[in-house]
Amino acid sequence: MRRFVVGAMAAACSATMLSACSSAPDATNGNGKETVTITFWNTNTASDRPAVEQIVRDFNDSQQGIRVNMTIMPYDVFQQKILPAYKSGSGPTVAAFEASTVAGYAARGLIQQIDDLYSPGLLDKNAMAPALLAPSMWNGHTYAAPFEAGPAMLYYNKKLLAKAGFKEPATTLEGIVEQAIKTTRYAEGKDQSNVYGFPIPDHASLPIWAPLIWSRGGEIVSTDGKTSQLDSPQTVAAVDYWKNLMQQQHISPAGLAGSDMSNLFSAGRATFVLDGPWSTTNYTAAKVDYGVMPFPAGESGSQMTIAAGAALAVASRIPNASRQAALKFLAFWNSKQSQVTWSVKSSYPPNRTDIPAGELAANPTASLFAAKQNMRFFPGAVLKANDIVNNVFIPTVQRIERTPGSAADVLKSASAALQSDLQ
Amino acid sequence: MSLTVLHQGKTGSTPAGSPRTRRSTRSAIGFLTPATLILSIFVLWPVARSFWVSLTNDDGFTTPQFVGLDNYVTAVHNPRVEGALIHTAEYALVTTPVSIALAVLLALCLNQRLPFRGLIRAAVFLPFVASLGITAIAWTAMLDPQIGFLSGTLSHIGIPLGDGLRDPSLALPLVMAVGVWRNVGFFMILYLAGLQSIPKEVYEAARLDGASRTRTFRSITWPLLANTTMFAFMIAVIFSLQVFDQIYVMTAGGPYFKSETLVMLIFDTGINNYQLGYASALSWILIAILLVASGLQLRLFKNRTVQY
Repeated sequence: MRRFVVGAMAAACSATMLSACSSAPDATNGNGKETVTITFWNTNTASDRPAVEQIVRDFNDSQQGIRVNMTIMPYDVFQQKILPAYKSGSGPTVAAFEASTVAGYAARGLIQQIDDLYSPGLLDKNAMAPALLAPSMWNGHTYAAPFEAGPAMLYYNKKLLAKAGFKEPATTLEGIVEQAIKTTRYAEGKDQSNVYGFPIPDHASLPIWAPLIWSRGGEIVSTDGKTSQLDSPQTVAAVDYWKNLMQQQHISPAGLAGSDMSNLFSAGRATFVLDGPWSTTNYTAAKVDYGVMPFPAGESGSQMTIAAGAALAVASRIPNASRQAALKFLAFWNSKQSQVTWSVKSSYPPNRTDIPAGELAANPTASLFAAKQNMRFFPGAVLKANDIVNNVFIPTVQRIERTPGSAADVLKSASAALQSDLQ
Repeated sequence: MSLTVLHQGKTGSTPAGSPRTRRSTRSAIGFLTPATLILSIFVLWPVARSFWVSLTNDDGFTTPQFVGLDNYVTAVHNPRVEGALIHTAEYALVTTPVSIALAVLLALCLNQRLPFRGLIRAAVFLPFVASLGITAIAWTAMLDPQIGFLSGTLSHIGIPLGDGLRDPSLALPLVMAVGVWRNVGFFMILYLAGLQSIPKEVYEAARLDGASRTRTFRSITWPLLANTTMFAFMIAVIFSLQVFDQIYVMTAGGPYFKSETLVMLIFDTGINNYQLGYASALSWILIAILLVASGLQLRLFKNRTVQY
């Protein structure tokens, strides 16, 4: 009898634990078919949260046999939970990973290949913005679908430009730099009243130094993601150019975080900032008279800006029913209808290229950021993206901002560290 | 018969193997088992496991391979580890004596009859019980060179803080200052308790002998606070070697690792970069440092404990 009781309790515990697993078919719908519940983790805790919730709600309403159970958490919590969750078998069926980290998760077998996402009945690859597909690829296969992506654009303060005698922002990078220098009002020790022409953050922000380097013909990682180009003569020249503008013309203080840059622009103490679509809400609330334009190319570089965003990946080792449900959700997320909802509600540009501007008219910011321009993720599809950004790129830039003379030596040693991370 | 009873009463022991002894042993084992189990599962096993992990290349994803002492050798040759060790040592060597000295000073002042004494004691102690995350965010905002209240005020009276936490030469000193501000209240309470346990008769005797205040402090107060000082020093060193939260919030170890301590590096290596084997090796290096530091302190204070 005792054995029976113990056995029954063990069976009950096992059943409870199994039923808690994220992707098992768990109920029946009105047609008597099993409902597949898939879990979805993301980090959209800010102003874009209602948009994500709306689309998940729309998906659940549109499906008979699939239910998405969403958990939204801060980025650092996500980062700390995701690995233990996958290791213990309780990871999410679908997760929104920072785009540049997809390759790392793919190479480690935590997420699965989803080449069949782009097939009739699901999603048309040709309708997707090409820049968003690149970081989702690993070894020639698709491992994720676009989730959200926004290019950094150049915000300018109309009042500060007018005060310096400029009716419009320049259309070339050299012109922008000239205006940044002329609108800077710098005095030593007057940090609380100085006006900066072009504040450049070096941490806790988009990697703004990447497009600055690209704009002058420099490069950080080769396009195949295998070779460091951090110490190439063009990169050194580009870095020296921007560093000298900071140190000699004082267009930006050193060591700024992304929030410091935003605070300066919100306070009307910055003429230009390179920032994403999510900041429009703050700048409008701060009553800054601003405009937005694409980041122009320099004389020796091409027009290219940095993209920030995430991609949706599907967990490995899940039942086929959950996989099929997950693919349907990924396709729904990137459908025309969802992307219009997403853009209008979040101000992010749509992931698709076939949405007419008129459909985004309800949100002018979304239309602006959807304007055709080149954008790239940094560092792209590489295995050690976090390490490259946090332990090589950011410290290198911070060191350079404080180093007098050429950045060549600092870049040379940083290039060796970067190369070891790329191998 | 009475002699036997007397003998048993004197020693308080029962013959080994007697039913009573066996019962006592079983009871002791019964009482100790839950705690031993909990400690074994949640402390001893993870500690032993982390040592094993430190000998592997565990990255959290693939099957770990045994690599012997490779992680330790890598750590010894890594300049970032060297920097983190130096910053940790600097933090401990500055914050420990400064916190203790300030705590003694505050305790001596606040042991006197003063107006609003309770309020001042509470104000000094409050940072220790306040959320470190929140206080660190508040200090970061106050020290901000562009919008910070403190940096602005100091600048107006001719003490510019420059780039504050963004300045590589100022980041660690400012974090240390916040660390001292946070912990000094706790040590002050320890010293207040210590001061109040010193018998008043000793002070009366010193006063009758004509001892000055300085002499009284040097010859009575400070020596009789030796037990408190030993405890406070050990805790202060452990606090400083384990410092993490305020650095994580205020500087995240930057700029370019200039305020990175060993615990910050362990977090970054293990949690951000998933190098679990290497991070475990760094943790064991920290454990070794803690053991050595505590051992040295025990030895230093061994002959200075007092009983009164």
